[in-house]
Amino acid sequence: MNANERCLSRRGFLGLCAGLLGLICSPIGTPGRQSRPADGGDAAAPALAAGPREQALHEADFYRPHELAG
Amino acid sequence: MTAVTCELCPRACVIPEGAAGDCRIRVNLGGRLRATTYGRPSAIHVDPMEKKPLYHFYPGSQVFSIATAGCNLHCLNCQNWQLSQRGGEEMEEVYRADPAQLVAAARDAGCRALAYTYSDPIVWYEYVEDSAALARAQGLANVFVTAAYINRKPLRRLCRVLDATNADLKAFDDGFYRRVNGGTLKPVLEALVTFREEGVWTELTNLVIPTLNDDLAMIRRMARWIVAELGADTPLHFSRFHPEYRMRNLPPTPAATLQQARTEAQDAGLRYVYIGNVMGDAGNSTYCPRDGTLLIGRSGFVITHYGLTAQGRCPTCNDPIPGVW
Repeated sequence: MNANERCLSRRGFLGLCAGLLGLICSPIGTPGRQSRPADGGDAAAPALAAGPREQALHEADFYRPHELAG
Repeated sequence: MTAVTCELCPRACVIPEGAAGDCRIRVNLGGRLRATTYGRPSAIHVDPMEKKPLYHFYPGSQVFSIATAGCNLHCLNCQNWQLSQRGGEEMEEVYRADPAQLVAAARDAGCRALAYTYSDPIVWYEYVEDSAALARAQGLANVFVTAAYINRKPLRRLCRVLDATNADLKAFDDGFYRRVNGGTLKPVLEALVTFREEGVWTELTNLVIPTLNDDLAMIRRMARWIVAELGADTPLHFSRFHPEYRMRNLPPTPAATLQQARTEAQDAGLRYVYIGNVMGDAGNSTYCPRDGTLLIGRSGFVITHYGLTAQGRCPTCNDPIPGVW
């Protein structure tokens, strides 16, 4: 065992176990490239208010009037 | 009433008055195109950076991850289809956050970066650009997780405020893009080159789907293209497919297939090739390409060992390891 592998001390080992246990128990859903966003709870939600679903009217970029042929 | 042509992505949707583009959220109102989910995130989560996945960009940090409804692709296997294949008005949950509120929330959450992700942030262009500029000004990095189906001109402009991207290269086959994703390959390749030209730290993801894009010869061609056009130091993540949405008839990707894909990519010259979603595989971790020293050990999203020097070099041979450390 080389010096790099020894850096996983007892405390690190317990931390690893806790981390793995958290990973196993946390509802991360299907572990795809981007697991479902809400899996595992929404830590940031309290900082942002829910809003009505009406459309925003922000001017988009990168468009032009369409010119009809004929 | 005036129709408009959207020039954001290769679809070039011609949108009649009152209608939306293919992405569902860019709408023609009175001859003017409106970004109808600006300031309206539909998903918010604090994730580890490794989940993007980004392995060479601020490892171990937390990233404030947000998404809108809608998408300009229609992947049959989309695992976020409840978000991507809907318009904003269809979402059960919508938040209200102008760019300043968004950046403040990310800072309050102790995050190192913002990630625009889950669906495809291309369709959220204006909000991403405004938020990213503000985030950068306040010391936060910006991560763009995308399928890269975007025109070069808007992408170049957006790259001015982006620090990193994880971009899909779904297959090295235009037919796959047309059949499975509803897009085409060439604009994606051009976008990846654009990221490199603009200096955005780039990592790629290839989701390997049994029988559809797991051909090793194609994977080899893809890897050679990445080496030639993006560089041998470009990290490539092979990800495991799971049945989802409109592709529930196929089995999950065998671990052996991912390992074979990784070997092909390494043989083609790529130095940092990873396997996602296979716990305990050597492909989870980062090794020095010169002497094989374990640099960063991972188990899932958890870092189990970090051995890079403070200068981002191998502790054994002192070679610089590419990334943003």
